[in-house]
Amino acid sequence: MSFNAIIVEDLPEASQVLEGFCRRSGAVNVVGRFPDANQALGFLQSSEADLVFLDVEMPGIDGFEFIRKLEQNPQVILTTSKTEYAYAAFEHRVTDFLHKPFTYSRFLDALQRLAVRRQELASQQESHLFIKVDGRLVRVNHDELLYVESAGDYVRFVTRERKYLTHSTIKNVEARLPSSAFMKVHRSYIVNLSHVVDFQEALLRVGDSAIPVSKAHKSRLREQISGK
Amino acid sequence: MSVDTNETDFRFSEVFDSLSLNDLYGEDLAMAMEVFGGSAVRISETLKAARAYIDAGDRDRLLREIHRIRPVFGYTGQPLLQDAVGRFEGLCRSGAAMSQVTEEFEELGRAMRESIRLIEGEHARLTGFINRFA
Repeated sequence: MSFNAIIVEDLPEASQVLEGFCRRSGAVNVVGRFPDANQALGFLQSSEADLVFLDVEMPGIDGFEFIRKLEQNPQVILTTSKTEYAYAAFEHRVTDFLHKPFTYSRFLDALQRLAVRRQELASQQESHLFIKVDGRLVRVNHDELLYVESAGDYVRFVTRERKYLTHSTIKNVEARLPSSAFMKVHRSYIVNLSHVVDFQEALLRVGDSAIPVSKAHKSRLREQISGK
Repeated sequence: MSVDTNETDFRFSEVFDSLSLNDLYGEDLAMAMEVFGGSAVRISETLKAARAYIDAGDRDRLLREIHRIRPVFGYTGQPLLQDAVGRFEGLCRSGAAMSQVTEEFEELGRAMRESIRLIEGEHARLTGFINRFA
């Protein structure tokens, strides 16, 4: 895992410490440090970064305005000393929110989140995944997959034609599937939303199968289906 | 400037939260030195600016100025002062009378001036220590 990052921060001490964390981690290469958002935007017109550490309150345009003006699509980690921005951070789909001054271990947690998000973004651009079945790698196209079911230490991939059992966990599979098309509806099930036939109470029909929906996932599932 | 301090045993002075400082700087004492050096200047500038806003009765700019400096006390291992600044921000936001804000600021100002003295002392210690290896 490695990222090319810029730091947009008007407090030099915060910027220095953050750059030190990046260096110490060995996972983040800082390609620029800017005391305001306009300078950072200027830099990004001719250079690329896949990660932005962004303060919110700065001279000139603030951090959220900066995000709206971005033409590239880097991951963003907000760094601020105000917790009041947490909701706005969520709205702007930032990867993480670090409350200054934060510890090195909290910084490492943020790197983990970056890695997971990167994997999600990559899988959303792919149309298939490979799974290991009986020593072979088998290609499963996303659009053919109906659902994935947990089975002890294994998971079962179910398509219209076949079922494949592989050693994995629902959590790992969820990270590999695009969240725009697949949704976890129960601790043991992930379904392909485009194959949902109907949904009633706590049961979802996908193809010819009835899949249980847990209480925790019901309202989000309803939103996802009605929004599709 | 990077200094290999693997063979060193620098200890931050007891008035600072050394656990937090060791977490922030690891073995990079050169960075700690830079941050301590910059922080003393920054706090001093903030005090001057804040005094001007107090005199002008400009509560909003006072609040912004004080808010901006708050993390610096974290970066220099002074969590109690960081909390005190947070409480002062709360007072400014609460709509308390300017006379009360001014009174609290005098006390905070004294603590910040003492903090500058401590930070400058630690900066000198760090500089002396690092120069032994230069």
